[in-house]
Amino acid sequence: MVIPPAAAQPAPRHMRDITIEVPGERSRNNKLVIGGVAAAGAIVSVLGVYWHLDSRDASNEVSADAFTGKAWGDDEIALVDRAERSKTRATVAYSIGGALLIGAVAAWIFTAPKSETAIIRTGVIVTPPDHGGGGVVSKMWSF
Amino acid sequence: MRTVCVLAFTSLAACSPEVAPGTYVCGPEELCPDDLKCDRVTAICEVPASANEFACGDMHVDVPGDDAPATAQSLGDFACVSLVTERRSCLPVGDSGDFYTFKVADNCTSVHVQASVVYPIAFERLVLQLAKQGETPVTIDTKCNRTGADGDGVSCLDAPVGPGTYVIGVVPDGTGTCDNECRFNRYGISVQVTTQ
Repeated sequence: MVIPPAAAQPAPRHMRDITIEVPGERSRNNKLVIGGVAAAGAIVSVLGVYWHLDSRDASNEVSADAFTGKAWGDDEIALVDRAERSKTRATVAYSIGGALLIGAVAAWIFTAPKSETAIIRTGVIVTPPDHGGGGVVSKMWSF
Repeated sequence: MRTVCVLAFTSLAACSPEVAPGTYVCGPEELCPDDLKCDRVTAICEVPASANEFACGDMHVDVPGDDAPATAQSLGDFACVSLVTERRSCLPVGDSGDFYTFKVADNCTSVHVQASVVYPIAFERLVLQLAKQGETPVTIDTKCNRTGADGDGVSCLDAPVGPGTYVIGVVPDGTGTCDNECRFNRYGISVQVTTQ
């Protein structure tokens, strides 16, 4: 039996297209840089918290709203200096740490890789049998 | 978010020391927090507007005429082991010192005079002088066994004495004068004779 060529290789019958979004992938460098900036921001912010607490402790130690019975002396002046110094450090650390964290978030957003759209074409091929009976139905995807 | 920011700034602002007037005694040479001034009557740091000028006050009356050993006021006769005799007085501006006399009983041996003067550290420092009557008093600044309250300085004198009349003086030692701006002070002196 001779199979006609058209019957031997039937054209697939196009059924429908499936569209999918393929998310972009960040490069390793991008992740490292943003992670590094975020980590630096976190570390500097933690330092800010440390200085903030140190400033608060020194400040609480010397602050008074009732008679203490203590004389104002070098120890108290040193506490005031420490409170002010740590306050300045905390302010600077919070500013830098906050800027780094915000920068990391902004960089994460602005360097997000674009996703790609992919179309998956589907179809059905019906192959007539080359013998007495039956048949083959195959499904195909292309993209 | 706004609340978080407000809280953060509030907590940072709380890190500045806040010292209310009337909470600290003046330190050496009228030392006070930046925005406060030493009240020279109470020796307490106050707002500048309510800080008073120096005055001896009712508790530390300056007795006139006791500024020289020859015109010293008497503390009385002391037994070989005496009670502590105390006086309060004052060295206003220009007062070079106050002198007191005391007599040690004739039958005493191995007798020491122990004296101390307590004064605010905010103003000029005071020390004690001692001499037998008729001699020139010399400063004796012995290590003190006692401490004053915070804000008070204490100078002590411990010296062997024999029977006879002595002069003990309270004089400024020239330090703690705020660059000559606080050459005055109030004080309390205590004197005792002991046998060792």
